[in-house]
Amino acid sequence: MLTKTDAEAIARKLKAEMRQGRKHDIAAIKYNGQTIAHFGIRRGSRRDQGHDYVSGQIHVSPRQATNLAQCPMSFDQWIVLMREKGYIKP
Amino acid sequence: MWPRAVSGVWFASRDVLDEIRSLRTDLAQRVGTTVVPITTLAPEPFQLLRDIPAVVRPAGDGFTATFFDANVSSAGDSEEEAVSNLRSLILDTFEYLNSEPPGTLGPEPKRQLGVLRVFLKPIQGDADEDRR
Repeated sequence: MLTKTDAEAIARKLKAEMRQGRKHDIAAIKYNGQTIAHFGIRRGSRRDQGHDYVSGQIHVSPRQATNLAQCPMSFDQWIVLMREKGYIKP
Repeated sequence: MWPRAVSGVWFASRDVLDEIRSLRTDLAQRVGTTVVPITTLAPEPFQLLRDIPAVVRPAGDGFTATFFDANVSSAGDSEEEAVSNLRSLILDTFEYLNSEPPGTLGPEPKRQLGVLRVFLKPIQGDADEDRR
């Protein structure tokens, strides 16, 4: 399960710009001046809050999202994946 | 890999047990999936042009709620909290994407904004009144 701690780690790894929403902080991931993905991180003090939905928001599998959070996958590797999937214009 | 019978008693390997656990989790998620229509955004100054289908599924100790057409998801400890969080995130997402300068949205955020505009629009008068 992806936790709030994992979601924050993914936001840092993908160099997300953070902005405040109503109940979430929005992590917007930009590349070459374009927003290519975004996801909400729930507010609250509990670090174990479930954030499994983040993988779908950044267009990767749950395992790849865990890899982003826990290090094996880098920002550059994620960018390559997004290019392959058409989420970044060539 | 395969279960084997010894003196009429079945023993299953670890692989088989893992597979059974995985199937049980998958089945529980499918059985526990519901679609809840979001029918209002009140008291927020937005008009809903059509109901938003929120797909609610068990996830770990809680639930996730997803608006699949726009690919917006949130979660909560209960089904109600998950849907409430999704409603709020849909508005945050709309405001965020709508505020970005034209040409700075990639293919997916641009598509998401297009979908959201089909489902909701700001009520300008009420928003102005709220600010006063």
